[in-house]
Amino acid sequence: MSESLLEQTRTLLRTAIDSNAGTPEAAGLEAVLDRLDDPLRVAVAGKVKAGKSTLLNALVGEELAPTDAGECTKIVTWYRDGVTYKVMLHPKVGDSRQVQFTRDAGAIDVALGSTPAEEVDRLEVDWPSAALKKMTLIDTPGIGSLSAEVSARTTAFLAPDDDRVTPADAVLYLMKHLHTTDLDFLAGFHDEEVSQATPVNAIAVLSRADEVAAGRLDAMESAIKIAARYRTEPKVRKLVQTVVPVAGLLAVTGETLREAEYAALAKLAAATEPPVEKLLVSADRFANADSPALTTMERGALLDRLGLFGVRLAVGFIRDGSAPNAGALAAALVTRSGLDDLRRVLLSQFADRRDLLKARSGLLAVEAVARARPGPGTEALLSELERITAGAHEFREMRLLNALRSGAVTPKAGDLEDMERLLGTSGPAPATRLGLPAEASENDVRAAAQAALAKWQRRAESPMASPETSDAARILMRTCEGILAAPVG
Amino acid sequence: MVATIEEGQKQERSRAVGEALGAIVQAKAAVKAYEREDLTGRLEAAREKLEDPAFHVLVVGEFKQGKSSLINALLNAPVCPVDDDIATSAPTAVSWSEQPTAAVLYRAADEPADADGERPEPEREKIDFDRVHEYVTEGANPENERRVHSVEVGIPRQLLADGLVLVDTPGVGGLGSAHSSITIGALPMADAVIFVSDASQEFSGPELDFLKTARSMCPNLLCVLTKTDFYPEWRKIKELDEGHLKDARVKTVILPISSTLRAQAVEADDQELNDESGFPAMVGYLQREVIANADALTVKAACNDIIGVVDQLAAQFTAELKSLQDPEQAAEVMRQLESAKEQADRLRGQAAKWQQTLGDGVADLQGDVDHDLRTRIRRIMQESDEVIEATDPADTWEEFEPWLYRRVGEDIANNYQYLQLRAQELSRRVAEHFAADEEQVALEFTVGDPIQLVDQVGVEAQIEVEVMGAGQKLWTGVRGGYMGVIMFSMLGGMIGLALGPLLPVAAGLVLGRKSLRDEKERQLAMRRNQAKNAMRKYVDEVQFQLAKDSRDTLRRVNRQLRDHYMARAEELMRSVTETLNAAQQNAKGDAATRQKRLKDVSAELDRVKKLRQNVRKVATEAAAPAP
Repeated sequence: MSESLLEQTRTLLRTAIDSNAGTPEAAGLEAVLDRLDDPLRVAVAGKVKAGKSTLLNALVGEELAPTDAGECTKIVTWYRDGVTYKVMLHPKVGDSRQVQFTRDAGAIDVALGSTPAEEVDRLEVDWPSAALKKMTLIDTPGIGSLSAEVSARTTAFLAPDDDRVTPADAVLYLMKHLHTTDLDFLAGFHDEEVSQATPVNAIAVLSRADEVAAGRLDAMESAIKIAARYRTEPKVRKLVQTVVPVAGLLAVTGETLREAEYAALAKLAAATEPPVEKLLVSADRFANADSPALTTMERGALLDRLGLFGVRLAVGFIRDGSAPNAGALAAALVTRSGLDDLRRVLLSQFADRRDLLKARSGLLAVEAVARARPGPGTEALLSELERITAGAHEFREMRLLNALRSGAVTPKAGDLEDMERLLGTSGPAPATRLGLPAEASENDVRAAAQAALAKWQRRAESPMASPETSDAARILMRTCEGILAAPVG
Repeated sequence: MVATIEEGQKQERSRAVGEALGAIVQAKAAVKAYEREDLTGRLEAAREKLEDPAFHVLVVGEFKQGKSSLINALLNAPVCPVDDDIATSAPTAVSWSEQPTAAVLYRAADEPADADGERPEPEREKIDFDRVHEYVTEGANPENERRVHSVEVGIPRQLLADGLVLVDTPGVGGLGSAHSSITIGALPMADAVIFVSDASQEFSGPELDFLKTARSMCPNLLCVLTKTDFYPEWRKIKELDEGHLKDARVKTVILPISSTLRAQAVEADDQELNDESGFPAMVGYLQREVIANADALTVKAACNDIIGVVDQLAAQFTAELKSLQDPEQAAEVMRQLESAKEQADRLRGQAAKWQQTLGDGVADLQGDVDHDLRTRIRRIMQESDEVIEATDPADTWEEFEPWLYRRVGEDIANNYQYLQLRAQELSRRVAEHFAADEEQVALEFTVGDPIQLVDQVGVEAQIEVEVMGAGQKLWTGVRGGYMGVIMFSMLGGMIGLALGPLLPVAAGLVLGRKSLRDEKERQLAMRRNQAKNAMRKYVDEVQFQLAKDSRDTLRRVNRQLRDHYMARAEELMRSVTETLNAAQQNAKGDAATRQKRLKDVSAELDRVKKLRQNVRKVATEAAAPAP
């Protein structure tokens, strides 16, 4: 088999750097080349107060990004795995420098010093963390901020007007409910060229899912139903791979639950005078009413960490016996929050596709430079680029997925699910593509692949098939052949 | 009992209204006694407005902020459908009715208005109270395929008994966000607006923009912060929001409430919980600031009408008194009366100044409103062209469509505001000219009698009062007008774009060659043309409809003003004629009869003057709000 996609991209990047030697564009491409081997860069975006920083903290498993009742994140901030703990400030103009920071109840509080926020391009936080080894997470200011300038920083970062390409490889888009501004923004982040508009590198998260039902305990069930409905919305399908509901606050507190907090909750659950139900009627009552079980300060702290829904849930767990200790409660909260599902989706959609997404970013960068600065060698560069993108099977799969999503290809009833799965929407592993459990034996996988190959061959050769459907079937055949030809293990 | 908190407030209102109604009864008796049945009509109309008022309170805000829950909690009835997911997509108006009822109004936007500018009533269909959600939610009626104009619900509730009509509006910014234009279009029709935003976060950019627009169109604006039971930081959010409002120079209050706590309080009959829900404070505010204010206006308007009637009688008696007091002057008085009669007649004629002002004014106004609309439409087309040129319609059409609806909706609302302002201006001018002409008639009456001049002050007050009176009528004329166009244009009048797949998909999937780019460019140009055509067609249709609507509206305004002042002129004519007849009668009689008549007329005049004083008092008290 020919060189892998990533290798081809690397070669192309080197060629591009050579032909643009000495220009600032070359430096940009060098940087892109370097990061081909870095972890995937996932931007966390969404409207103000959608819960981005909270979710980021949940994914990392630590409270790093500051959160607050009012609008908080104002500067694009990168969180990456590092050898030591440090924060670098990168101004728009001038040299980058290391800055001091303190931790304010966990959250990193950076001393910007003499540089005002508008002049900062980004902050980079190096933080040794297993979670960040797989993915670098980028926290962005919310769109729809009252300060258009603050929102503009996110737009400039993710969907730059000029010919630059966003440094993010993928986007985790958070929304409390689907709003036209969300669609507008997602559409803006779409790219045009390399694989046409792609839902492959964007996942939508129905965030703050605990708030969906105004505090009722079946909030998560409701959120799951809503996410399922959004998944079938054509407008959404076109733009994102899938929609996952997550209650960020529950997730981050579950990940970082302290013994003392469990003890406090247990005391609450057992309270009789007044019984805890009376306290849980409203947030005000919980925070301010008299109760000998816990002081108002302790209760205020619990409310901060869990929210009213979380407290109700936790007390419920303790009372019905499913959380006899802190560990059990933490696990229950994390599970109920939907974080596990999100992690699974991130793994299969982003992490496992790392090479593809990285290659795509690299190719986009080369194309941007080639179009912005035509010169000798541009012609050759562009045709090589076309050869790679047209020839790479992975990109064909991506384009077919997009065509399915946008309705450009309409398969027979019942085929759509199979096709999407075969293209990797549930995960790129062969077994998953064929709809088999992950532990399926090699023989089972081969058998399934043979059957699928035969099926799609029939489809491709059927005289009733339209040209679009035949072509789609042929791509799927190629996928099956790839599975059969791949070395085992 | 929790629900009766508002009883005390209600009494206050009734007093002013009761007094005004009492004055009407007295005036009617006087009118009957003096055989001036031509004046009864005005009194009847005033009575009707007092007894059967209607103030529309629009509940607006982004979707999923708790509007429907708020209304349900306010009324303690599941009137508006509430769901975690699906949002309201058509307006629901809730008013008082003895039994629960519901009706759906279907769009009749294509029906023409008649010569006087009156649009036919939309088709109304009675439905089951429980089936309301089938017509107003996005889920049961997606994209408003049922062509619902709005839904009307009636339930027996104390809060609504005073004439309050609560209107639940579709949330702005939902998936089908053409809805925002409906709401903006409905703003001028509202007597008050409640803006709803939940306590999960401070005002967003779009929310604040909306608030600014709402404030400029409706002075009675109130903000409500919902879901305070669930968000512990609600006080901080309220503070932040108050700051934003101050910065945006939007003057209004923010009231915190929780519909959940309210529902629980009512169920458990818990007064403390009810207070915590914030509802008593909100209802109190509505009663004091909204209903009481609207009431005050209605009472003042009614008093205007009564005084107008009473003044006719007073003028009659005053003039007759003069002729009786000084028999030597009788011939002179008779001559003056004859002259006054001629003046009054002229007032009714085509050549009267007020008629000319009205006729010319309406023509001018029509031209200006048309021009304003044309300019706006042209700008929209330019902006749309720019957007289409800068993007690929295949990608952006789905977002462009709602943007266009919103944009057009805003301009419709602005054009409407313009018409409204200019029409009010015109009404004022017509009133002034009428009063000036009228003065001519009155002064003829009273030449040589200094005591009458004291009442000049009364006359001036009457001018101001007259203007407002006409203004009230103008409202009805202008208000009824634009809803039709707005509903039509906003609920998707755009002919769909047949875009189809981007390229022969085969080519896109397999080839990826250079020639593909050229083909792409050609197809892009084609799509752009298609997009521009569809946009133009839609915008043209909107302009056509709107021009028709504004013409109808102005015709209605014209008719109402004309009818109003014509009726006044007829009354004046009648008064002068009656007086002339009485004077002629008195001239024939002997001294004894004249003496008796003098006593009688003095007494009548006193009675009429007292009635007038009483009514002035009621009007003044109504104007001063209760401390």
